[in-house]
Amino acid sequence: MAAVLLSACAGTDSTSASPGASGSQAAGAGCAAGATALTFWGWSAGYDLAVKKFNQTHPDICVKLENAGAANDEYVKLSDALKANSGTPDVAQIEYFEVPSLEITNSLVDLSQYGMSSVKKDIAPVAWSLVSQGSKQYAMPVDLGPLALYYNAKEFSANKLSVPATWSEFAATADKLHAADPKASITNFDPVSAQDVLALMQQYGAFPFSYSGGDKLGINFTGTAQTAFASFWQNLIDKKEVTTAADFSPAQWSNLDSGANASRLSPAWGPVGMQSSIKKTIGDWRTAPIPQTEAGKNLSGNWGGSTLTVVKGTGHAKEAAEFVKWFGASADSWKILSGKVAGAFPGYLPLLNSTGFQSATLPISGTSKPNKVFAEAAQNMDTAQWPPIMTAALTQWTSTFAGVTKGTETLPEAFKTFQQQMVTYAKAQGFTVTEG
Amino acid sequence: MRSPIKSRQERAAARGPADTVPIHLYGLRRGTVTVLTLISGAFAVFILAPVLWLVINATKTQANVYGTPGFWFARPFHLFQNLSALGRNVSGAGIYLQWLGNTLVYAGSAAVGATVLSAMAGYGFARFRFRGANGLFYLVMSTLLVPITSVALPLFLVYAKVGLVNSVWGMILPSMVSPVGIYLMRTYIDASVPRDLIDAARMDGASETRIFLRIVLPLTVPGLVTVLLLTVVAVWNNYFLPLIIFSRNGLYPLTVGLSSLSHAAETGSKAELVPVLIAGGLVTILPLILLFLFLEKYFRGGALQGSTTG
Repeated sequence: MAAVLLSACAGTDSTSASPGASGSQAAGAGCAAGATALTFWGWSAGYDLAVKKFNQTHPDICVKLENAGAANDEYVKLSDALKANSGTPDVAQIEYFEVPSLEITNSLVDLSQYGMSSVKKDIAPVAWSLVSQGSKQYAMPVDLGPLALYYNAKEFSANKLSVPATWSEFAATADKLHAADPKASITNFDPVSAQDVLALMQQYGAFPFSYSGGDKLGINFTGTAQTAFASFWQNLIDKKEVTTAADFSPAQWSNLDSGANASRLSPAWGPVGMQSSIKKTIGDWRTAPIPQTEAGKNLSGNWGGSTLTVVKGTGHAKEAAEFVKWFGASADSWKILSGKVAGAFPGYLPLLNSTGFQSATLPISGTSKPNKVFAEAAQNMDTAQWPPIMTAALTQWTSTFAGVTKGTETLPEAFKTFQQQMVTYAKAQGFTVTEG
Repeated sequence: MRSPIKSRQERAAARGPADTVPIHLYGLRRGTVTVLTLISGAFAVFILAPVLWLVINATKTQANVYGTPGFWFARPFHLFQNLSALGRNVSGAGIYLQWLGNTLVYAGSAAVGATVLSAMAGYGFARFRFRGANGLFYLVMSTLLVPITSVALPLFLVYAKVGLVNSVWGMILPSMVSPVGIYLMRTYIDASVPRDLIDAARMDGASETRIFLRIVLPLTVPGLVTVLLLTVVAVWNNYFLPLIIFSRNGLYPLTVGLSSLSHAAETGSKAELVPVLIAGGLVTILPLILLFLFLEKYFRGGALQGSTTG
């Protein structure tokens, strides 16, 4: 309703509107005079502390953190600002899956020209390859979310279950648990959570997308591996051996705490949040590698994690590059990012591989050392080839997969529908699509 | 949601004999009244239960929010910790109290502005004949039909051009224009300000400004309060406009702020944000409830007056 009337208002008030005008007038309190001001859009907890530290140790650069919304909210704003060619930040936090979308619209500065190779050895190879395309590097990796099996050890031993090493053992364990206790399910599988499902598909060797820059895009939700994945979970859903509560919903937390779920296929950043959302089973949770498609394999998948990008249009690409390099690959920064407030799981190898990090304990898992398992998982992930159509894919996913939770359609059916929807969309966007 | 029978007695006590009409004279039977009462009772529960849930869960810790019955209290009593977290940047998304302050400023100034503009425009449409009056009025009304989501991008581009992105004016100026307010004021003035009165004032030599300020406005106080309240509520709950135009959390109103807090709480790689979010939700609705209680008599008087004299 505002749009039509807006021009009338704006015409007369353009002079009074200037005080809040956008731009990189970031120099605020706490910055040295003459420092280069950088605007940084980010939303994760603890980023403010890291920025503060950077500003203290780099008097020539002054970074101002602005929370322009989380995830998709920020991407929409960023794409609006890029279209308006005004109000774009110098640096933006972008999740791994969204980087190709910005890459293809030519919105990111190639960082390889700013001496990033010196820190390449410090970054988990999978994270590095997620943000690179040939010799070009479009983002600085920050944190990761490798998957592991996080299970309730008390419930496992009470029902005489052993920790499954393969998915077929996992299904057998699910049978056994459900037979022993009809109210218990082995885990939760949220069909509507695209990122959760895609991480599991990646781990299963069934990642549905293939993309390596340009306009060629592979979409495959109906191949052999993908169909096997879908049938595997649908079978467990049918037998009520997994629940389908929404990720992070109250139902999920109370299922984990009441024993209705005996395990969680958890990303590395999961246990900290889970710890503050449950109470009866604190101390009972242990970590094991995620089950494999075949015995002897050792593959994990990645759920979540962010990068920092330098946005085209910045007048200070060099300084911005220096900042993102420090942010993702310095001991100073990671001391804060892996701390209590931020709780990010590092893609920064010196920390990831350190004994101090790997032997850390959490009340939720007693004296066990979850980071050891997660750190190993982080080294055993394939690079997901995210397609540059993830915004549309995530939006469409929610409605296409809702029926699986409700029980009105099966997972293989939803995969088939989604395949068609994505192929149609990608073709309309001008991609040459390969199926299967 | 009081029962009609009770409220009849109450009104009788309060206003004297005029309202003491027995229910059956309205053509209502006792059974009908009971059914209607039950239905409105059910609606009351439906509306009030979430508020009750907010009140109860604002006193809990995060584990208790998930692990204990939603409609009863649990130890430890965490209300004050949750409330005090509203004054700090607990999520990295910004400070709740700052968002509350912003919302008060946006809603307050937009509501006053919208009331003044609606009164002036409504008076103009109701009591002056000029060329294009009808067309202009329909143009104003037609803006109600444009869903704001469909104009998001052009809106942003225009805002970027005129420097309203990340500006408080970008929030306040468009909120001051209320098509519904103009419509309401036009109807209200039509019904409650007699043409003869204005003509008489003109005859006596009163200026147009004086007529508007001293005659029209005092006669339309209930209408003005209605527009004021409606605008406060609309701006208070506006999510989309601030979401588009603000990229600094220091400028966020409560809606956008709470949503970013909710995102931080949901993915929960961090401390206990869920009860803070709930406490924030509770504090968010309190000012509106207070405002309604405070202005209720004007509001109700307005609705009645419109219905009897129109």
